[in-house]
Amino acid sequence: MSVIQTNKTASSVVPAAWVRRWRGKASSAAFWLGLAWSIVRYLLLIGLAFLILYPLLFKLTNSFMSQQDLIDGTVRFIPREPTLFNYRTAIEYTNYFEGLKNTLGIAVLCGVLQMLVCTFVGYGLARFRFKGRGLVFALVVFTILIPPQTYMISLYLKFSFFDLYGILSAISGGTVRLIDSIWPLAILSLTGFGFKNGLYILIMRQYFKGIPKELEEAAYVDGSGLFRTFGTILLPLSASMMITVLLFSFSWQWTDSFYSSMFFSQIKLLSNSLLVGFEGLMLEGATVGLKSGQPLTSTLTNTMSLLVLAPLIVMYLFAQKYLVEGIEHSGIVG
Amino acid sequence: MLRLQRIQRLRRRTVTEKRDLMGWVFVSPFVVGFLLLFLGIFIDSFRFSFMDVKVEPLGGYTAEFVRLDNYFHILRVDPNFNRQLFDAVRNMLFDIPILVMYSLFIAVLLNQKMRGRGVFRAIFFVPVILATGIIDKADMRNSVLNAYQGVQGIDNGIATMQSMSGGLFSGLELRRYMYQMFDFSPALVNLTVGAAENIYNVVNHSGVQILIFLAGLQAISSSIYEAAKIEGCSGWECFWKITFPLLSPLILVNIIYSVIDSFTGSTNAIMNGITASMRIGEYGTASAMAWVYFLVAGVFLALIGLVASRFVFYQSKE
Repeated sequence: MSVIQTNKTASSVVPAAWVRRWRGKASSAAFWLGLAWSIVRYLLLIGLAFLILYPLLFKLTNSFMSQQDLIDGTVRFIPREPTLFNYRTAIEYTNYFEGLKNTLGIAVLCGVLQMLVCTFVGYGLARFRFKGRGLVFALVVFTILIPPQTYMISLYLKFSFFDLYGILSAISGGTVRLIDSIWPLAILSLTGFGFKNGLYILIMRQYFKGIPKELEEAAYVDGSGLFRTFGTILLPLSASMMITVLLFSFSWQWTDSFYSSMFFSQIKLLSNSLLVGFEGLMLEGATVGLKSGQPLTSTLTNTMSLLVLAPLIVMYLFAQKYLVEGIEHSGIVG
Repeated sequence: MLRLQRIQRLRRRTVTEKRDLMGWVFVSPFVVGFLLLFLGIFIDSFRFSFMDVKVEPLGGYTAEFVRLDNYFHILRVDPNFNRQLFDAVRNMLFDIPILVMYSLFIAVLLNQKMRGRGVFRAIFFVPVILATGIIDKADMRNSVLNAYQGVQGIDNGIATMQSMSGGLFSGLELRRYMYQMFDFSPALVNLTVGAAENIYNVVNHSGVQILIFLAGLQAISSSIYEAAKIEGCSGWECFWKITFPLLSPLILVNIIYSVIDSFTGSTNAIMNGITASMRIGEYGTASAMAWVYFLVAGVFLALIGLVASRFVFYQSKE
């Protein structure tokens, strides 16, 4: 009985635990500095995030506006009669889910292929001192430097009449038309010539150069072969970099309009349907189709661009977890 | 005798040398792709730059060898090319340091532990997606048509953004204000106002660089920082003594990427010139322009590479 009482009096004198902890923190200069820093950090990040998101926010509010709101000059930012009409129309008219499926398939295929090939080539350039390495590296940089627009026509012709220096036509008696199939993109990805693949090779090369050589040498001494060392020691180490490359290749394939409009005129892709737009769409009860430049046409395009971007942003929200929890490099210090 | 020599030569190869030859296996996809697909394209483009190419209306083309006429034309006759080239180089030299420093700073910020980090990272990823320019393309057509047909009251992001970046840091106002209040020198005023107007540009061109830095930061073992903390290393020192050297290979990547991005971006006047002359069928001129351009860009890349590689720290020294 008496023991409990003493306990009670003790707790009434000493302030509650959280107050104590807070006071302890507040008395140190480090705490205040930390607080100030985190406030500055948030202000900065929120400001910059606003700058990035501003155009998208406009699209977002715009996409919920009804046709009355669009014409009404007094409606600026917040729709007076919010509606899902734009989303429904865009999804139906562009056959969104089919496009999504096709785009997803192509982006996954190309993204994974490009990531693997570029990691491979990057490793070859970083670690092996063979003759001609400098030349190959210069060619890699050279290919990033040349924008695909400049060789667009040649590339199109190449895949329309596909032939490998006369070998194919000698065997099958004619060139092969590869347009409207997955082959052009697969071939480009497999050879490291897809969209900005030179950059990925460059990234991986620099990254591998930054990893100390001792690890591989230890593996070689223990009798591990070249490819086994690469697969079991270097690949796990470079997970965060490979995920980054995958993010680039996936999302750039997703939003790519250059190769998709060139190679896939028949297959429905999100980027193509966004660029084709909504001209000529017949709405219910209308006698003529939509004309370009009308408020509704732009609003539908806005809605569609959000629908194209949204899956990527959702994907990134998940993928960035792996960027946080990248593999801990125990054992490589210096 | 001959055979003996050959055997001796084979023996002279050490294990490492033999392994180095395996490098060809690793780079083979790229080399094969280059030989099969692109060598021909590049040779054609190089040949065209010395030729007068005419596209026939019924398909096919005729090409006539005109020596250096195309180059002479763009460098001496065309009034725009030299100026645009100079502008492109100047813009690049101004933009690169800002871009790289900014993206390194943001990447370090986004790597710190804080609430809402995932959301911020996702937001800073948006410029990466927009880098292919597809949204711009869709918007541009809209806004051009809007302007043309005089349709009022449509808010689509890009048009508003342009007017906002004018309004937010209203250049003229700011300039006048600075002259009157602070009596700044004109050069300083121009520099400051230019930087302010550039913010939007920098923020939207740094997504790729931030992501590369972010991945590089993940790769630095936390045990290095722990060891340094125990030795009494402050955050500032940790950055310059650990983070900076270990990230330096990727700083070089980002410098190279930024150079290339500023040279080949869709806003670049020369790039537009090249694609425009391709579209009207002047392949000779376009090829010549492209090669001059690549030569200049290549020289800059080589210079930057030479200078930067002296400061880059690789853990595997050769």
